[in-house]
Amino acid sequence: MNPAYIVRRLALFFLVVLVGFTIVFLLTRLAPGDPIEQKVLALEAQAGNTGGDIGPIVDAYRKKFELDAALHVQYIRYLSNLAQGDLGYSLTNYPATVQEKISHALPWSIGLIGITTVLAMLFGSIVGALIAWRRSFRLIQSMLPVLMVAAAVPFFLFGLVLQFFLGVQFKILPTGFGVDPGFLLGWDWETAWQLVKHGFLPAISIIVASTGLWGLGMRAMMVTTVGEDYMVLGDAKGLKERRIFFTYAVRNILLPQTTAFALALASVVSGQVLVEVVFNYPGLGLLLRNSIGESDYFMIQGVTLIVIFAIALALFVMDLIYPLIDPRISYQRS
Amino acid sequence: MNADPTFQSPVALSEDPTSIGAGTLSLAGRTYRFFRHNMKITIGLSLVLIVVAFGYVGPLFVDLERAEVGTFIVQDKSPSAENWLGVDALGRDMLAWLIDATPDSLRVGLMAGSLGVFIGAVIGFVAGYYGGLIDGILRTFTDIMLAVPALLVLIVLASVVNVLSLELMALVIALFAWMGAARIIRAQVLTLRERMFVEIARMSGEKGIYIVFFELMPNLMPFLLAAFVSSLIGAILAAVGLEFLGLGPTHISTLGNILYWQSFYNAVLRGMWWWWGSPIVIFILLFSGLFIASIGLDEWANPRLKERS
Repeated sequence: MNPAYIVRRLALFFLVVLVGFTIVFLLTRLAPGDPIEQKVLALEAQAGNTGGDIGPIVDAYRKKFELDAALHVQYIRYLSNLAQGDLGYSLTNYPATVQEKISHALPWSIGLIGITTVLAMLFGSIVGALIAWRRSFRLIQSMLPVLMVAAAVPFFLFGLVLQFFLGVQFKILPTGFGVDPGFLLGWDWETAWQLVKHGFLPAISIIVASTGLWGLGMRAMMVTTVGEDYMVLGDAKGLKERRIFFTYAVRNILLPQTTAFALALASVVSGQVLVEVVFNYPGLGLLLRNSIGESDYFMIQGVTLIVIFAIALALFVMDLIYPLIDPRISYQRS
Repeated sequence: MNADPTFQSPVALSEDPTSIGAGTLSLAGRTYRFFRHNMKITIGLSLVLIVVAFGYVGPLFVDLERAEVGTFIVQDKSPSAENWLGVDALGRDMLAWLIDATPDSLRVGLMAGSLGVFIGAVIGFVAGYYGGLIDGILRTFTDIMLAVPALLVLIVLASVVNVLSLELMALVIALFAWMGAARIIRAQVLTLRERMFVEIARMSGEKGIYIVFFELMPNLMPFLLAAFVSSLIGAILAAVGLEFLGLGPTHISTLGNILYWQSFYNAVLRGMWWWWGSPIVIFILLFSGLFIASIGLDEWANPRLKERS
């Protein structure tokens, strides 16, 4: 791989992160409404003490959180804090920092998205390819509408349906949370069982929906691949059907599919956030929902920034690995 | 090779027998032929029309007053002859509530979707037509925006702004719903730009604006339509996500709002399936319809995607 490509790609990575952070900064600072004032008002109302003069309190907090400076000064401070990995304090759980809270939630979310992505890619690719494969079973070929519905409907709506049928109606699986209440995590089989049991429904909701997306993309590619010369050659050589399907067709279109996934990553993550909310799954999504409920504004911003960073990083790594596994791609300058 | 099918060069539309304008049939005949040949568009549009009819014709048959909190005293009631879709925990008739909510959900999507496709088309046009440095900058910007999770940024914004109006929400969603359109339009303008008829127009001294509107636009209509439907899907998805988290406009009933309240009152765990089930049915109809229509429009715009049979 040539170094110029890596440098260019790295620059793009920083650009993505910078633009994402700047959008969040601008939207929140320029929008009408003041999180500090809101918070103080809410606390006052909670204490049954309304109508008092909150001006000085608000000003004091604005100073403390450095929200009183000029916009460009705030922006520079904001970026330099972020560069040091400082996301600030949680407004509601004050001594706790945003980083602490996020680091508890992050493993859950990453685990969930990792497993569901691998499985959805596996199922989706095979089902999608089989639908376009003329010699596969009629039953599979007629599954296209199912795939379309799966791809079209938002993740969390599947979650609600599954939660009701498997969790409430038939009581096969727990309806939410990462582990049973009061259970302590350890490195043992009991923990593993708990994780699988509780992660099953959220995972299935995401897998069903993203299998649809993978499957449709795969089918579209397969339709154009079936007529390729090398496919006809494989047939003429009398190769086994299975060999033509897997090594000639699927293998060739699987890799370009990953680019499609890279494009969809941001929306997959958003979908997962909502699924976590449905299932009270202790990842970033739930953290976000709780922060919204507590109007913990710094937390909401922190979670968003972390996700922007994580997605940019994932895309960067994918782009670096991609030319290594697909010999057809080279990033030499022409 | 590229996984994105929109990057393939298009087959000239005038050569496609299934596109509007083929043959010498009457308008009705041509319309019939168009829908006959593009079953996906027909099926998709029909599903969407069911939802539209539900929202806009429904008020003629059902009294929307029944959607007020406390209309029905007997609470937690499952569907019956009086309340076809049951009653929620606060005494609202579900059927009336759904009919009340559907038009507003569609409106958010329509506003954000059209604005999104407009922004995307302008950016795509400029990038594709002028090329060079402008193209480089705009394309990089589009790629960057694709990597930013729109829903999360919208959540941050909505949590700062106290009361989000329907129009403001649509506007902000549109700022994150234009990238797909920009990519599609740019790719098409790039291939169209080099085509003979554009070349001829340019050589005969036509101005850039004229070429864009009278030579390029008509050829891009199918792509613009396909891009519009994708923007629409993205916009409704984002709106529903925001509303489900309780961040949408709170004084207006929308479908996402109903989902927020069912989650607030634990309808799933309480077994009130009619509460969350009925909005889901509408969403399934709406999203499947839009999605199938968008696949159909893609195939119409780019017949190579169609399965050879």
